[in-house]
Amino acid sequence: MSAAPGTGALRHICGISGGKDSSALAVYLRDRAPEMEYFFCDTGAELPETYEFLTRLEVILAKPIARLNADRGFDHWFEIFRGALPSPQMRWCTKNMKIKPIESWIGDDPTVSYVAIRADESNRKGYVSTKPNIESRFPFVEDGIDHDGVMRILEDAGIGLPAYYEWRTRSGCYFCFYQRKAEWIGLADRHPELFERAVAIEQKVLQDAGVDGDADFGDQAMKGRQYTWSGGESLVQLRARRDEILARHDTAMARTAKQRPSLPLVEALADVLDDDDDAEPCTVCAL
Amino acid sequence: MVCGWRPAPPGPPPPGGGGGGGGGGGGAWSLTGPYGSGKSSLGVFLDSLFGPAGDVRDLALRILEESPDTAASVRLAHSFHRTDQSGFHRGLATACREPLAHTVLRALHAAVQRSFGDVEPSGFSTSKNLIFALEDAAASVRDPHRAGPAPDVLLEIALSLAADRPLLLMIDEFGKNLEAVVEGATPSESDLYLLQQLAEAADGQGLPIFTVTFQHQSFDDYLAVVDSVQRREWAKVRGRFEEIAYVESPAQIRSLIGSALEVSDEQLSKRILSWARPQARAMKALGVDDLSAASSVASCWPLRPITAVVLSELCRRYGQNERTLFSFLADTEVMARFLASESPGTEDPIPALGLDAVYDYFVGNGNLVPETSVSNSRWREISTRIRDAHGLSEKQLRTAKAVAMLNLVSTSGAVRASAEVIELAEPGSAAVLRELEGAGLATFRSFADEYRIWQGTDVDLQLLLEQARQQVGKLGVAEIAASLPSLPAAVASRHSAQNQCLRVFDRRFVSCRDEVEPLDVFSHYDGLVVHVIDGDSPPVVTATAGGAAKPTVAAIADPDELEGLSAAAREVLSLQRVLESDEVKSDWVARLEMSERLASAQSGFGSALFSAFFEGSCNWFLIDRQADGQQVAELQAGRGSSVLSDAADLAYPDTPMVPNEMLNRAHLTAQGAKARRLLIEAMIESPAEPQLGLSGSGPEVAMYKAVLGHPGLHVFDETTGEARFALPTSAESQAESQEAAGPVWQALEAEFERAKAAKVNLSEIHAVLASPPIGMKAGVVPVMIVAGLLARKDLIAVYEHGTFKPQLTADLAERMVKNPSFFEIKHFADSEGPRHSAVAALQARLGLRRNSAVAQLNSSLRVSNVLVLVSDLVSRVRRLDNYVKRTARLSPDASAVRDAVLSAVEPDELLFKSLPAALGLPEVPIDDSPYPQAETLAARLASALNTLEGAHNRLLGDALDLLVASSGGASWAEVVERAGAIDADALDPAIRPFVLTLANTGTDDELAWIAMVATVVANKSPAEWTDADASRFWRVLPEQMAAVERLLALYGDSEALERSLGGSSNGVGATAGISGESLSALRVSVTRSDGREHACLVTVAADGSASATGVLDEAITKVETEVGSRRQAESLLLALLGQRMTGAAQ
Repeated sequence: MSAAPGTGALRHICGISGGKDSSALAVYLRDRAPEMEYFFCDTGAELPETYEFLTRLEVILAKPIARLNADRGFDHWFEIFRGALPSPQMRWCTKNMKIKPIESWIGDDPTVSYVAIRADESNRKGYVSTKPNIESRFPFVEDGIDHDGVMRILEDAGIGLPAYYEWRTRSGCYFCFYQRKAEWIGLADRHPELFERAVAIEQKVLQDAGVDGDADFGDQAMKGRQYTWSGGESLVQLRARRDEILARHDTAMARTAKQRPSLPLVEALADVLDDDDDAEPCTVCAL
Repeated sequence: MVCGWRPAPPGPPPPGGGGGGGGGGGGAWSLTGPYGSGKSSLGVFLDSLFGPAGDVRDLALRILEESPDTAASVRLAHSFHRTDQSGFHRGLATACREPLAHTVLRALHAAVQRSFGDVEPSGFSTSKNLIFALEDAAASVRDPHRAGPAPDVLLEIALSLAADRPLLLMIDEFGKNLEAVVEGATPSESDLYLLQQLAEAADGQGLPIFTVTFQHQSFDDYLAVVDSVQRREWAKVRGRFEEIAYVESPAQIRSLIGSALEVSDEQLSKRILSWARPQARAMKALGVDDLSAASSVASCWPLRPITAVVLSELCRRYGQNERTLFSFLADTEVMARFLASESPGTEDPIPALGLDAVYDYFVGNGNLVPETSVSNSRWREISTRIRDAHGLSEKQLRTAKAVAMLNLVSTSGAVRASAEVIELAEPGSAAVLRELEGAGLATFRSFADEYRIWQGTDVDLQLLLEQARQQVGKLGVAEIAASLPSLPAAVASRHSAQNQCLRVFDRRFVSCRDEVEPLDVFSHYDGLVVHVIDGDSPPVVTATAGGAAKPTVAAIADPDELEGLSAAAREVLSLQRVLESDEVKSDWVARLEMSERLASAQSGFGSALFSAFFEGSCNWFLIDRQADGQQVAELQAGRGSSVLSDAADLAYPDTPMVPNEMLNRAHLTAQGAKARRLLIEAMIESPAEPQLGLSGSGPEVAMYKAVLGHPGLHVFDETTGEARFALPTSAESQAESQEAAGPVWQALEAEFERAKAAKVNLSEIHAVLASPPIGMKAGVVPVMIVAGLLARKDLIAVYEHGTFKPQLTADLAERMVKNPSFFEIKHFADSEGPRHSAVAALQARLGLRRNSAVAQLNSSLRVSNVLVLVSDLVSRVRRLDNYVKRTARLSPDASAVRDAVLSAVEPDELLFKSLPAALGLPEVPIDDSPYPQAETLAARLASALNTLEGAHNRLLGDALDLLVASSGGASWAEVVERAGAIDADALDPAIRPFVLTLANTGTDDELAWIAMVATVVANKSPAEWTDADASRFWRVLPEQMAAVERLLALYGDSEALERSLGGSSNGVGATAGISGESLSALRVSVTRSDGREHACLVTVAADGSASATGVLDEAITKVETEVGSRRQAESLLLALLGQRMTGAAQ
């Protein structure tokens, strides 16, 4: 068993993002480090596919995955900040819902953190803590496990991939401002109720905050400022351009597939960069 | 002294030579001239002229010979009055800010002393009067209530002296006497009378009294601000005086320069004269007539003539005339250094001081700062540009300074910064000027034909200001009040210190006709001070919607003071308007100037404001606005902010003492907010621990002590060994508590009581605590409310956005602090009658224990209540997984209870209505009618909950049973072991995860193991299953287990075969069979329609299969031609082989 938090004994932790690499690492470590503690930073706004996948993973790991931050998800902070939305310039989401909960959960115990960077990802940067009591290890890099290795681990464990990979390249909040326009359309198609919720949040309204109905912050935070999740247009405008966005997306997909014909769909999708959106993805969210 | 003073022609007419010289009477003159023009020196000179015969008078007369007519007049005066030997009585005094009588007395005293020596009672006819007058004067200086010397007495002394010989009375700095009149420091009437009598008595009685006053402004200018009656009186007196303007022209000043400089070397004088000739011609061409003669120019050496011109103009315009001029000429840094460094030598041209020296002395070194802001702006602009001009050569810099000086003293006329004039100042400067233009430092303005260092402004500021003044003049008082700069807030110091609670009042100007809206209870100010700027009655304060408001204090000023304030305010507004005009905004020079003037006006406004609303200078009222009208109470003005402290005392008598500055304030700092969050978290998470489990000396600990510990709101109970939130039980601490937080606690209890009837919004409770008479600071309010909710947590339900929250959690409290208006509370009083019985039964069945401060206080309340039960129920049902929350595979009781809890909104409705209905029981009545089903309700509810909580594990147990049955009754441990024998690496991906999961030894919990298996089979965790997922699992698992069984059977057969072949096979695996290097094996099974099966192990030797394959291909091809497709041919042959197998078996 892992050392109890706060005792000062060495802890082994593995963060799960809801994506394939960190899930595969969790499974990989299951049989190698029985004392491992798994955690997931819950924003309360993850995709339903992610939550479903996590329960699957928990069963396979035969261990609970600690849900950090469960009481203070996005809706909580949205109310605390009175409708001031996170953005690439003011990323309170990452700070309050990812970094602070993790560092608080780890505390001051000496800790080894296992990071899911693959052997074939030489340039990727994961979240590497600057806290002195945390040592990072990269098992996939150490053991030479690449993309195919990860897929094999997931297949053998019988859990496969989270269902959102069918339409989205990464886990994270349903309204993540780093998602591409085609992914917004994917959200509108797959989860229209979440898309509507994101539309409302864009208007500084939290839908169905309680039986009283919505919580409206339109008169409070940054009054008069019209924030948009996706650059240059509101979600309503974006949805109105559905066909155009999908056509451009298909073109980009075809181009990439042509250039790299041997890639599986999942990888090809990940490589597509819509020409209207070149924002850096949120690396910390992919913890 | 007299030697140093050189009168310039024409000098002032001497007394005696004019008004009274030839007549029998005296005369009066008032000499007005600017600072530093030599007025005082003239006084001394006159004193010498009219003194007794001797060297001093002779010397003075010699000086006067430059004006022979005047000298003759003086001699005539002495002769006429027979004072050739004795001279006049001469009294010269310098005035201070004092009554004129005091100054005149000093002058008379001086005259007597000079004529008679020490004053003896018998010295002259009125010497006794003089002694008495001196005593009176001394006494009145010591005691302001005593009258000074009487005018009549002084007049009598003057007349008695004049009867002896002429009396010359000279009062220097007479302006000071006039200033004293203006300030009201001296009674105007007596001064008027004395001055008038001095001027008239001499005339009327024919006695020679000559009065001369020296001042630097005319009487009218001094008396501009006194009222019109006084001004008329003074105008009469002024008429008795002959006014002489004592102003010297630049030419006179230059003449003074010439006479002050002297060259003793003859050789040098000649060279200077030859240098001066062309200079003089140039000066003539410029129209400077007084320097058109070579001798005049030469007399100014070592100044260039243009330097002398500029210097005289500069001193006249910006400085104090001769005083400034001589400070330059006598300065060792300028002249001496020039003479030391620039030896005239023998070569021409002879060196001379240019304008750069004047610039360096006056502008560069800051020896002169102009007084008026209009001049100042140009001065500042020029000096800034020269100062900031880097990288200039010496010649360029000298030329730039010459242009700068010319710019400063003129903007037109012959002496301006034209190329010709600059050439005179700096010979050979034509090329340099072009360089300066290129460098952007100087600009040639062709319309004015001059170079300019300064940019200047084309904006007519005066016109704009006049227009703005006219506009502002039309504004009403209310509009002016609204546009005035906001006033800084004021602190009620004494009250704040005594109560350790900073009370800050916002301040505003209002009209007495305004309706003033009081400060909202959520304002971070504690009250409002309204300064009434147009009346003597307090304004009307409007009633607020909720009735609660912070106190309003009105300040009513003296109407006279208000006039000054109003004028100052109008000036500030006018200047603001000019500054905001587009023309000024786009012109930095104009902007700079207007900004300075605005700053000055604002300073004046500040002074006027202070005069009008200084605490002691106005009346103060506390306005208490009630729904039915307002009550006004007068406050006693005292020192400092005592009046505001008194107001705060009256408004906030129930303020609790919270000795923590970090918490007890309207807006918390980031650190303060963090500490308060930690405190509230500890209140919620560790209420039973002493000091809430907080340790160390952090700010949260200090806050705890200040707001909870010290007032006894969180106490340690020795009997239970736990701490709790409550009113203190011991008499001592209760007394402390009453003192510190009693009224707050009572107010909270009253609000909780109100919440019995209907939900109460938390912002209303905030308002009660923030309003008078409590006036708690916004930083403390949330802590107090959370303490109250925790102390009554079994009674008070919290709703967020209308949704019942079963527990007060830390995150909930965090949101509550931020947005109290989103929260409501409701008081659930302990149930009575049948509901009480039902609660008791449920409590017993569910094993709940009331754990609240209320129960600790009163044992009769130890029966649980609705909130405790419902909080537990809701929490338990919400913890169920999604499968249990959705499935229909539950008992009717369990699913009905689940649905009722998940859809509940109100706790009491759930407990007494929905749950009984879900279980098919009648509602629990609210009245006293019996409810015999209480026990049944409790038992069935408890059972349903157990069913729900066990549903997940029952699902897994059933799944395990199914698996065991599918594997022929093997235990899970056997299944794990057998699956572990299969070489998973060789398996098909479709079956591999299943086999690997079966073989997983990572857990020793069979339910955890079956959950994994179930997850892999259904591709979904059982916790997330729907009933459809479960059905599918029940169908698929046996099929997959059968496949594994077949695989295991193949393994069994191959091992037997291997043993019979002597162990030549080396490797096992694959779903379809087992393969090795020389041998592959297949387990072939055929099932007939009647259910019979035949299975056999077939081995195919690698080397023997090639020929058989050829034969098979040939057969397939042949059949293909018969049946039409290769696939059908293969199927047909396979079926025939199967029939043969089963036939053989038979």
